[in-house]
Amino acid sequence: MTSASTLGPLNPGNVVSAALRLCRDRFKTYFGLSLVAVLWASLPIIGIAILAVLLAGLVGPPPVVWAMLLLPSIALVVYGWAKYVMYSGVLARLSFRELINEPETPAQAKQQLQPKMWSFLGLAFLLFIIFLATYFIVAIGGTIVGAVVGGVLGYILNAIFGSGGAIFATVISVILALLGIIFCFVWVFGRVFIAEVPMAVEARTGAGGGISRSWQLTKRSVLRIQFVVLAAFLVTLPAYVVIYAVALLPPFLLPGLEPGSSAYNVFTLVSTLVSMAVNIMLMPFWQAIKGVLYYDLRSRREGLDLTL
Amino acid sequence: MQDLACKNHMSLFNRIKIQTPESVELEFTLAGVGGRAVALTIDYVILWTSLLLVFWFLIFVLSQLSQWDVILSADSDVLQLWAQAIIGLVMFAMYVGYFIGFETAWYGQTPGKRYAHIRVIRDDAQPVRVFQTTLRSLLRPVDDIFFLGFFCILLGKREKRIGDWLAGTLVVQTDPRTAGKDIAVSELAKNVAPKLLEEMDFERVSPDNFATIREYLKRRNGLLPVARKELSIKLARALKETVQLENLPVEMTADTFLEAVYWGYQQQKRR
Repeated sequence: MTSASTLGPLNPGNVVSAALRLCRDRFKTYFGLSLVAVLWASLPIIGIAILAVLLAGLVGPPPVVWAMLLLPSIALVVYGWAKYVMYSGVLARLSFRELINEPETPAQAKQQLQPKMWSFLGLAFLLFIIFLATYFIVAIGGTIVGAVVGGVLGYILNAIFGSGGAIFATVISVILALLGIIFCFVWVFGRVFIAEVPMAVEARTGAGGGISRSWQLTKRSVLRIQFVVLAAFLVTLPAYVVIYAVALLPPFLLPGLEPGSSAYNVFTLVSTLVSMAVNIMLMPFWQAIKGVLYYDLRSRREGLDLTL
Repeated sequence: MQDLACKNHMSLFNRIKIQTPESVELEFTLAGVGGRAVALTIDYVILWTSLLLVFWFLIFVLSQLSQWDVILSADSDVLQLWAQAIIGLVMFAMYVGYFIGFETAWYGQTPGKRYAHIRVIRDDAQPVRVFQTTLRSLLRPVDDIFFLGFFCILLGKREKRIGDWLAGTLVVQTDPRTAGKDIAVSELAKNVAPKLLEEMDFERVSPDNFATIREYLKRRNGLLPVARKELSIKLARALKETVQLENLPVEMTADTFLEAVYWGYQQQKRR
């Protein structure tokens, strides 16, 4: 520890504890930002849906009108998404700035990140492509490798132990292929986990830069990041249990609940609102995790905390 | 938001002062929800994997045994009951024994706690004994129900779950930073150090400065090459300025300079 005011590299447990503490101490600020973000992501869709229902019910406009409304609607929804990812960037930035003892107000952070709004959306799109590509490559690769290994192993074991050996080989190769697929996914996930934070913090880093920075910083740290994510998930588990309890229990408690009835609709609305509220509460936590992790990795890999 | 600027980082983690029976005051950093979550994740993965393996093994062994009912001259129903009882007992013993065994033998640590750098201690900072570890372990299922323990740790000032309250224990962080270990100082730096001691005012190197140099030397191999180069030059320049050293006695790299200062500072302290 260099001095009382610098933290330096943190172990996985302390990354989670620090993020939790930040969220508790800045609850109102973070919660407010998270609320705004979720509203940006959901209100345009809800609004357009209501508008469409009203239009169809009251006027029944010709197809031309629908076609004309389609483009602005899509634009509005995409704009909402961009706002959402920008606000999540603001949350990550705020928690990082706390750790380097240069705290910002939400307004200051927003001012910095507003011009990058579309880059944040671009990053989200890039990450989507990366995960999709990983999925295809890993699924195809895993199947081929699994089939080859299973075939060879099955042939050998079948020759030695008979059909029991072949079944054993099949089971083993399926398990191995699945483990391999999970491992690859987890690895890629760990390497790009903090991609939006460099973009939110570093002035010149864009979408592509965010991913390469994340890739660079997380090298050698994939396992620690897994422990951070697992521990953070464990900490949020009670919240997820609440969501599932609200969503799944009432049908058991009220057996008379039928789809389409007004009670059913009320129940659906309530469970949607509860899960939305829990997500609004959890989003700052995950963003703080990323912000703290970014601080940890930069201390570890770049000596951010070391100054004379 | 004004109070943010002067906020000290140490407040991110709860600290506690303990008066030992010998009236010595010790300060600890509490483990925190995160550290305990990491430890629990690792311990439960190890524990449940071994429980599963043992379960399969016992099923296999006992099912083999049940074919011996003629030899053992017992009813197969009775044998099955015995088998169930044995399996249940072994599993329970493992579940409880894992934590009791490790925490007692390893002075309050389990494999998970070791990884997370945390340790169980008694309220008076003494190491835990079988009595405390047993109470903690027996109450673990209670703490797991409805996340009772989680909320107690989260909301309590001393981060105690129910098991901790009853056993009179605390979970604290161990300090992983060991001073001066595995810092390689090159021969060149050791040769330069005496010259620096002559020409440089080491009084100006504060303990904080020294700690920063030591941290750098300890962590430099883990740094990205570009970052390492920049950081060493930055630190060396700042240090040269602090000690008001105009020119280096001999030509050397920033790394060598920092090593030499580190070495010289220690030599000077030993005098």
